[in-house]
Amino acid sequence: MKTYIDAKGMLTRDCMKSQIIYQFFVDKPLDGLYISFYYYPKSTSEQQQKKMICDDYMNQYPDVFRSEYKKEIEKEQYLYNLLTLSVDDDKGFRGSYHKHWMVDEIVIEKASATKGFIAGEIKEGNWKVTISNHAILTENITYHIKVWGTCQNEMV
Amino acid sequence: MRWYKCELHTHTKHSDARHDLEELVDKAWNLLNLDVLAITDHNTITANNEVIANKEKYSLTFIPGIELTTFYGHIVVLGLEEYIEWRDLHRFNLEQRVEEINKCGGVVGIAHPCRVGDPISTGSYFTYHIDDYNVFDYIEVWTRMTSDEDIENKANMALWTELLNKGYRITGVYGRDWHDGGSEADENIYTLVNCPDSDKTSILQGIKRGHVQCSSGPIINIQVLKAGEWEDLYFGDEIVLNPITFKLCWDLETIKRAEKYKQAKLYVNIQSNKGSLAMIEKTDSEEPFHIDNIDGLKWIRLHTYTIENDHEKMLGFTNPIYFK
Repeated sequence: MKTYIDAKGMLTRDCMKSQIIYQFFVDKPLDGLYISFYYYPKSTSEQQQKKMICDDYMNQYPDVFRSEYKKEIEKEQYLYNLLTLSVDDDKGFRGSYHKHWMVDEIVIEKASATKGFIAGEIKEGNWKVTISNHAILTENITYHIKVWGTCQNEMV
Repeated sequence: MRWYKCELHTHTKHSDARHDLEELVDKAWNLLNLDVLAITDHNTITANNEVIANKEKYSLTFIPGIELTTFYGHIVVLGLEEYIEWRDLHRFNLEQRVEEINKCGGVVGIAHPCRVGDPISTGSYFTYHIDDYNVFDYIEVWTRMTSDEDIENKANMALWTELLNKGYRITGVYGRDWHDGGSEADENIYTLVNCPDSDKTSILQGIKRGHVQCSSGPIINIQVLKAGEWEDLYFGDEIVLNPITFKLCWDLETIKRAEKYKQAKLYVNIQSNKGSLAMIEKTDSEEPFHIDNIDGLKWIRLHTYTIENDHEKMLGFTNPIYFK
């Protein structure tokens, strides 16, 4: 087993709508590539949520409907952070994990892959894992990402 | 030509739905009696492999797709099996990407443009800078299982009307954004596409041409009087007659639930760029209605209503008929 990425990061609200790319080189064909990714906290507390209803968000809505949009937002007790993950191999897209909850492990192998990802050979070359920061509504988010590969027949 | 019942916006466990593909297809076929189902997962196209395995089991037409779920808006692309890059999009380069998708044969729609976005659902509210909305084939006007009174649907309809008034001929559709649920008790809404066949190409062409209406029950067909003969007219078409005489024909068979309206009061509000032109109640005799002077008219659109519990309830809308 070889670990390609083992990283921990902290994002602030300023990082919202940004992408973080980890690029790594796979130097020989693998049997499988595995990713563990999680972040916390998942959501704001109720007190924090009320403070978020601020002019910056309201101004994007048209005047004629603004009060109705405000009512819809105020109905929500919590606001949720959302980071998603996608993978590219040397040739292009290999899959995306776009959910509001995390699995234990993302698996990409020749014969099968976690839903959202493309099964197939894990060839040598540059691979990328992209973390897309859709929503950061708490003061900060901590994430962990680990990427590793296995090769049955020889030491990787 | 006949009306095909379509659902153009769905998700599976390949992104964030609670149902897997097989459950979704089962509900689409057995509960909603759909003819056409587009699979449009967030930012991935991997459900397509599973679709191939299900094709023989059902008589549905499957349309491959993807929902580009970006920071500044959601865009549904129909008809392409390939992954489409979204991670490099910013507020000012979406048009160029959509033009590239158009060249590859994709049909592109703006998903729920006026859904509540920040801070509830980042990217759901469409904030891209667009110079020319002609790049888009359609816009979701009604979404989810909410009513026309919901702020999202009211604002979507207002946006669509604004675009039509500016001269854009953009098709309006319904998108369920189907992540879970579905039962026979639901008042399901359909995007209905009028075309000669239910294959992928015919359906996508019908959408591009605006031969579309959306309804939870009654379907409207329209004929125009031309040189003394009644001729079928298709929503999305342009006509050059002045004055114009129309006749409406009601279809309460294609959507199963429409049977309940056979004895109910149904009427149509003829909307236009000049506002509401007339209200026409459904009668057995299908009386024609006239527009004496089309000067200044760019389009008309039909909204269908019934009265339920003493309240006016909107059941559907057609795409416009345009005037030169």
